[in-house]
Amino acid sequence: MKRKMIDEKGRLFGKVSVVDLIAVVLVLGLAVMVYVRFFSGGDGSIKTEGDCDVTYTLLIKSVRQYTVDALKVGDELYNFEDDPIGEIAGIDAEPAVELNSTLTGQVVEMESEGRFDVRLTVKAKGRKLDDRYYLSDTFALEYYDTLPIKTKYVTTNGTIRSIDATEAGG
Amino acid sequence: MKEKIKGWARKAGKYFNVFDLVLLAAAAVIAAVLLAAPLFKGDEMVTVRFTVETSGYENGDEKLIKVGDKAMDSIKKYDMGVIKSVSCEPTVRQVIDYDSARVLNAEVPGQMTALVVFEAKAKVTDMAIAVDGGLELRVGDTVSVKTPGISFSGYVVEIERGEAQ
Repeated sequence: MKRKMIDEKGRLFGKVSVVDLIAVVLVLGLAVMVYVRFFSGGDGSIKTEGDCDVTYTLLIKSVRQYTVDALKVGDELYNFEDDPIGEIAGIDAEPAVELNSTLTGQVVEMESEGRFDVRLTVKAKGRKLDDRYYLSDTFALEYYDTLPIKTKYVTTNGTIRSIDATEAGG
Repeated sequence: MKEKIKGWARKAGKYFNVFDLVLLAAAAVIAAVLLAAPLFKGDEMVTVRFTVETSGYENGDEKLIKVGDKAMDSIKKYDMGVIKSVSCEPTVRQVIDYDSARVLNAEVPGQMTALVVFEAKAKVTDMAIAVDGGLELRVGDTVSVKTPGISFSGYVVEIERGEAQ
């Protein structure tokens, strides 16, 4: 006797309710999401597995002492998509210099009182793809790219001024 | 005891099948995890101190910012805690000194800047400090504040690391 796959009561091979089956799959899916969110140590997003060590410098122009003080070696750095983009490995602050015109029609460098230009050295894990270094699935380092950056304590803008990379472990 | 359990199972069987029971158990576990999540350390509220710089007050208006006043974010209404101290200094503006070829901070006549220290409860994670669980604050951010005596906006210029570490 040939048996229907789904009978008139909506049961698979006369045993399992299709609705129950769908509900079980949904609950299992939810359970996996809860596990990933709370117990796997991640935030649920897909991370790029880095295969090279990248060191890059960011130039932060003309900020006040408050910003300099809020930056600390060892702090994790993020872009504005909240991707982790490395750890601060060095901070070098010097009096800010900006270009201004004089009364005689020249453009000269002028030191700015109470302002600082900060060079941040950042170390990160990255992946090389098409001659670009990706620090996440979507974020690639590019020379002279000015980007909003933040740590847990401070937000500002920095321009990428150097990029060095070595293969991880090399 | 065994008979009792069998009895309960028989009674439950009238209303639920095995899948329903599995579903109920799984739903209960997920609900417990979600309800317990805020109790985990990452979501704990701690006391944080931060300083906001607000400028351009004339005729002593900066005195309307008072120690002890409760403060609220005037955009999304987050509780910004209590004002713990206020210090004032002349407002400065950057100007070019053509003689020395330097950019200097010059005082603006008649205007004052207030540095206001707040103490508030915040959710602290590895990535952010969120006052009242939702208002993320970092040095460099602009905030809008409402107190009983005055509304003002300014820059966050300091966040104490202490408990927020």
